Amino acid sequence: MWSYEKKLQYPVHIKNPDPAAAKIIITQLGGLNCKNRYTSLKSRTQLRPTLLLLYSMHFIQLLKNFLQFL
Amino acid sequence: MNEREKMMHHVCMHSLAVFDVGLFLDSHPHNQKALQYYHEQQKMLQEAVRAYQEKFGPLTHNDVTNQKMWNWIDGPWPWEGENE
Repeated sequence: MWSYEKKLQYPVHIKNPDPAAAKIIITQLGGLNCKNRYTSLKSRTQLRPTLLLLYSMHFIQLLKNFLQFL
Repeated sequence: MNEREKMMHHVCMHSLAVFDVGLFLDSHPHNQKALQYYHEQQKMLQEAVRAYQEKFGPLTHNDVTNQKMWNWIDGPWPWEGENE
């Protein structure tokens, strides 16, 4: 259903990283065991925990970059 | 940009073009210009992906060609190495 591509959709360059805001945003998307997190990550249905962590970092990085437009 | 970034940029470029014109075609299925553009970009995407994967390894789970080890897990991953 979902497949992971090892690339970003848009090129990404962070000028001013804002980890505080990123932290707030990721809390709204659900914690480690939250079901919403799986669907929001567009991940495969069965992921090993380490890979899931890897993929979630990808998502956080994307979020951090959206923050510079806010 | 180094070579890896350049080739990745090409992949991303054509991938976004294909994706975007695909969305347009979802609502305009008979638009010949868009369809033509889609096929052009699709071809360029396949070429860019092939060239990138040949040099730097798989982009998806289904494209691992290494017979000796599962190089899918090799870095760098997309969120790494951005702030150099």
